[in-house]
Amino acid sequence: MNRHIALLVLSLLAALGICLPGVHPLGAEESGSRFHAANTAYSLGDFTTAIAIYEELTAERGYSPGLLYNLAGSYAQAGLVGKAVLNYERAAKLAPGNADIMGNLNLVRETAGLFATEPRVIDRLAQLLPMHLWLLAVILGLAGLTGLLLAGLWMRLLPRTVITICCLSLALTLTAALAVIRQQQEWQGWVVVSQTPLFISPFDGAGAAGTLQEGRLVVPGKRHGAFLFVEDDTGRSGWVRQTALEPIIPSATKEENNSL
Amino acid sequence: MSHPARQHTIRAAGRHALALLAIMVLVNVFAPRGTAAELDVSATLTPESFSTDEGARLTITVSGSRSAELNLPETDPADYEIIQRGRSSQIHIVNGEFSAAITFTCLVRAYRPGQYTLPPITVSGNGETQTTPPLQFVVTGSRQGGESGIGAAPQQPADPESGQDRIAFLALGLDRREGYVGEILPVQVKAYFRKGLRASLNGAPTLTGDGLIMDQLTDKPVQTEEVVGGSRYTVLTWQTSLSNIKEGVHRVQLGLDATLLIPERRSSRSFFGQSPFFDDDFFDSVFGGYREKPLTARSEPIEFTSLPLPDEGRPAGFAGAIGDFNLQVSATPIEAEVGEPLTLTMTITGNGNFDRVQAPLFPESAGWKTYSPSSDTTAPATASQEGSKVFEQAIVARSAGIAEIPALSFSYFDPVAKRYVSRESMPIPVTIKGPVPATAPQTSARQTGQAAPTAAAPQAQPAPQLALTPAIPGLAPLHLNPGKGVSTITPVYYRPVFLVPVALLLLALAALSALHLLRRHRLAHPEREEARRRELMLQEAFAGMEGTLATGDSRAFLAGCRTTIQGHLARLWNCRAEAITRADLLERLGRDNPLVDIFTAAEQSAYSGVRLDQPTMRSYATTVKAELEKL
Repeated sequence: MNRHIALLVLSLLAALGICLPGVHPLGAEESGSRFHAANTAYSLGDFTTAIAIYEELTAERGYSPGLLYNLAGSYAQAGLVGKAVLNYERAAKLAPGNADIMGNLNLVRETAGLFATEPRVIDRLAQLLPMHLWLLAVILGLAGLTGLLLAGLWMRLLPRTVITICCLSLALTLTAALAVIRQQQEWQGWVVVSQTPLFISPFDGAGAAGTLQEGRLVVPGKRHGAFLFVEDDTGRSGWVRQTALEPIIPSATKEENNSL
Repeated sequence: MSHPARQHTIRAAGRHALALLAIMVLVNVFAPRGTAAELDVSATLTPESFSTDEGARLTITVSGSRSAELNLPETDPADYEIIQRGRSSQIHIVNGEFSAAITFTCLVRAYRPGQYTLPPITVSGNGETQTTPPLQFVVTGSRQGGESGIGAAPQQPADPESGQDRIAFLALGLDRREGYVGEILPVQVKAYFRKGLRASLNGAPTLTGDGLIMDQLTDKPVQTEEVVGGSRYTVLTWQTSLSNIKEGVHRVQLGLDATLLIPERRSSRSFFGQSPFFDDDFFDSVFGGYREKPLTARSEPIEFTSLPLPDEGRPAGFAGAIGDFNLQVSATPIEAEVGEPLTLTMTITGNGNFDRVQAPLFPESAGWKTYSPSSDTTAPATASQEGSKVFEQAIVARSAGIAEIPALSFSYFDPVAKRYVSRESMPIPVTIKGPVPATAPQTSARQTGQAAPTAAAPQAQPAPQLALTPAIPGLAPLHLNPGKGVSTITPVYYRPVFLVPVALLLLALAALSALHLLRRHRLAHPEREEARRRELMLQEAFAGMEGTLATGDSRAFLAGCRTTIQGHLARLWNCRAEAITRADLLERLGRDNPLVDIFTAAEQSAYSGVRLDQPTMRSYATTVKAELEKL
């Protein structure tokens, strides 16, 4: 029995070791100097140059929270609200809970008048913690149940203790899992990067049902040719040209976007 | 005869004479005059020439009878009709001669100019039938000429044999037979009903066909009169619009459901016979009924061609507006501080599809920050009238020194000219006050030996500067460390850092749960555990026996047999193994049990040193195994 438990612990540790994400530092010397040059351009008010350098670095080195944050700030100062919101959202996904990122994102939204409908109670509860903490809670809940079963093999536990720990662990796991599912929708969202009319049908010349403001978050639905059916965070829905939108998570859909 | 008797007789004779005279008078008055004057019928039409706007009176006089029945002839309703209006009776007594006359009054109404002959009219009375002579009359055209309204001339009544088509039809007034997808076309819908007919509409006209949609007709139609093909019609006119929604050649037609009310003549038979009271036409209109006949009025089918908007010459800012528009732009205030919002008002007026009209795009400029515009549309009552759409947009100057709001452009497609048109506004001069942006840092002089420029030295003209005043004040400062980069942005729940621990924990949960279940099962059935343990130990003992058998040491083998038997029986009988003797075996297993012999041989071997050969030892081993496994 002891041997089995020792094996289990070792496996867990090994798994954690394997689980380190495939990262590569962005701070190579050349990239660092260009990053610094972009920052300097931003400070001087040359947002166009700053944007160009940040975009180059993103294309070459991948996505990092600091890079996306500075890029988003440059877009915001240049008045490109859609791109600013998009990059702040991406930075927030990489560094959830970062106060600077969330603060700037909310400020840009307020300034641009991008007010969403009041979130429901369940959404507000799901937003209490960032996703990575909810996932940690899931792991803790499962670990609690596992520990309880393990302890039960070794020692005699009072029924009340067993029930309490079991209920708490299950509640934690299920609550965290539900919160993750609610937050998961945000990862599937797209951002309007240029103001576009909202059409009632997916073809040119169709009647317009309104306008989607730059920076608005939308949830995609079905596709028809170059058009995408979306619903925004105020509940309006309709067809838009896909060229006016960009997904928050670019990796899964970059090839699809290019193919369109 | 005495005097009183004579007087009585005279009085009685007088009374008799009076009674006889009364009877004779009554008979004369009420007795049918079999030998009265013959039935005589005459008819007059006044006037003999009249227009389609007027009518003529037809008077039929029947003399020689106190009652008569009139049978009007059938006429072509497209030409003219005879409508009975009234009836009157006169009785004349001249020189004791009694005569009666009945006068029927009718109205003759004509719809088509021409020369006509009123056919003979049959009159029945006194058991006779007489007819009037035919009457000639002339109908002239309407004195109020001309059609009202615009649009194409209405279609002629199509089928002369079909009475319905002449009675009612529709006309769609379209200026053009060609348009562009997205265009809104003003149209006029006219419903024609033969004047004089009574009809009720069962709805509004509807358009059938593909590619064009007609706006719902909500307004009450304008009612007029027109003459079409020489016939007079009551015309209902609606102004509406058609939306062109699909490319191609489309065939459309108007339809309208109505109910025609045809008056029914009441039977002239009354309970009281040919009574002048109840044979009057007045009672026909009050007590007589209308027969309903469904009617569907249609227009001639129209072919309409919907063209796509041309790609050639399409401006970049074209958003789908089709029609004819004008653009006016104004701004308030025209003096402001840096960061203070100005309201830009863009008014687009004209005719066309206002639902596709969007605000002109403010040109990208580093000097201005813009916000999304709001709109307010004043839709025209009809598509041919002018409408307007006003956009208001907030703009903020980012730096002082900006002199004007740039010109704005609005593009639309003119379907009449068949080309794109772009309307541009004039730039609006504004005055923006505020801190002048800092000049660019001066390049330090690199000339050896030269001193740095002094304050008195003339300053270089500052180059155009980018605004240093942030468009969104209050943003947190830049991050100096870019952080670790990743090639993809993956949700945490897809990453191994989450998936592996969760998978391991779930496996561990499953394994531990299985262990718990097994343990619980064993606790619930201890006898099975005991049996399993016994079996295990028995197999171990057998293995030991096999070991000693292999060595050939019979003494050790027999000792092993005895230990095996004692151990197994001790577990079965729940006693100490060493306490089990041959007597216990005899008592519990019986004399015939082979284990007793083997146990006895084993005991004897301990003291006597009996040696066994291999086959015997093999046989003993087999027997011990078999017997102990049976227990």
